[in-house]
Amino acid sequence: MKNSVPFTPDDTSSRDDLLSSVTHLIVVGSSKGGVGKSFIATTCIDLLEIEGYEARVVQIDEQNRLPTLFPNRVQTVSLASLDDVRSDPAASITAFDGLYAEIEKTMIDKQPLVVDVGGLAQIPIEEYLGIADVDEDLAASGIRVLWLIPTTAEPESMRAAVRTAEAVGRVLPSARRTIVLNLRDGPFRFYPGSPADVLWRQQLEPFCRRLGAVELPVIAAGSWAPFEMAGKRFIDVVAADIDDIQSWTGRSRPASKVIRGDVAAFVAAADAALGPLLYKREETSNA
Amino acid sequence: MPDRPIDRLIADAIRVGEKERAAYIDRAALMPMGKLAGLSASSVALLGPGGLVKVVAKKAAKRRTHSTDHQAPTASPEPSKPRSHRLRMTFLGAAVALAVGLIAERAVPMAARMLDSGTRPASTAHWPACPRLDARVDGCVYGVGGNGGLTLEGAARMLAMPPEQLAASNTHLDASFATTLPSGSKIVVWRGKLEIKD
Repeated sequence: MKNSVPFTPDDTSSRDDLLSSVTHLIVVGSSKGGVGKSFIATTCIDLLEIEGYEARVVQIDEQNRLPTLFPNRVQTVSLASLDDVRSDPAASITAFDGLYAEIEKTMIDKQPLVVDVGGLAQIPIEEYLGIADVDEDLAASGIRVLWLIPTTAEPESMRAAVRTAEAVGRVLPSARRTIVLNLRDGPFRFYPGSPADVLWRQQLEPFCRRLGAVELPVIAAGSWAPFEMAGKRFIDVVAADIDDIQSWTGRSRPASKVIRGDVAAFVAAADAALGPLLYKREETSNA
Repeated sequence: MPDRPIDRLIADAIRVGEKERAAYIDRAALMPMGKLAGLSASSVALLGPGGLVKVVAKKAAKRRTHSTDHQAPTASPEPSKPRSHRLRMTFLGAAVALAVGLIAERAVPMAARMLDSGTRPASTAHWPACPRLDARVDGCVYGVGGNGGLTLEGAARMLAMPPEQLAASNTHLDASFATTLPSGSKIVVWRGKLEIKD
């Protein structure tokens, strides 16, 4: 498996720092929903586990996917409701107390923490980070912070990624920001001169070159859905024998081999793309 | 590459999967075109990205081989097909391969959604759970989790559907658009596109 990072940031020394050990705080967030944030968070948690780290998980979202996949490991942070804010103007800040408590644990024990930020929670968390000046605490504690900003090849999603990258740079300047190009809806190649092409070339691509970007591979069509429905994780699938795959998915034995192979190919490709951002490999230190 | 125990499992799973996919493609190449066209979406998906193109290429190669084998014993003194005919056939083959490729490119992303049977029992108690709330899910029931905070309006926004349409299939919730749904509430996602089966 080779590193498939298509863009490398200008500042290679900061990348070296990042790779010198595990990344402690990994946030996955963008203001556009449905771009694969929870999918990427799940991938990161599994890749960390493969590498020997059991990450804590926080979701600022109302989905039930992560708590199902990682029982008793997910802390759910709910945004303050309008009623909460009416009765307590500080509620929009205190709503994030649960998140800060988990970050504090990571500051102390350096155990990785993966935070999945729902699309509707992106702007509130930016406001919280700015007001609470969390960046100062993170910088003082010396933990490494990575903010993954997913986008698909679709204008609204790309626009949201640009906005998010700019906002995170303002409120969390010590965080390493990386664009995750999710190839789910197709490659980032557009008809020349189209609005999507202009947006890509003039805004997002320059960000990718400046910050760094990785391409998230795609699982062959139809190969992940049966496992997702069965509530399985990537590492469950690659480590399972064919009998298990059959019982989970109800597919024939040959079909089970194919879909397990597709998931394994995804894990290998995701490890090559995201692994260097999440942890340092032993071979790197020996090189 | 680091030598982690799981790396071997991953490599083995990929190898076994690729071998099985190649066998699928070989079997599909032996099928008559009519039967090939009637394959289910899940079977087409098993052929993999570009799998249909490979099947067509194999069929074309087989036809050429068969045609050559068949002609050889006759040793016809007639001149072979004119060059223009061969060129025309080559262009025709390329056009067919291109068309199949284009269809496959659109079909493969759709295949996952097509795996759905497209029908639902009349009782939502037997519907599958929604893996998440987004513009793609349909005909499923979502369980509100966490510590609350989700409203019907918020759910409709995530589902990219009109709140009124969502409310119409969730009269059991007895909630206004802005009311926070308690944890454990069941949201029925129904876009009216699937078929209800008794």
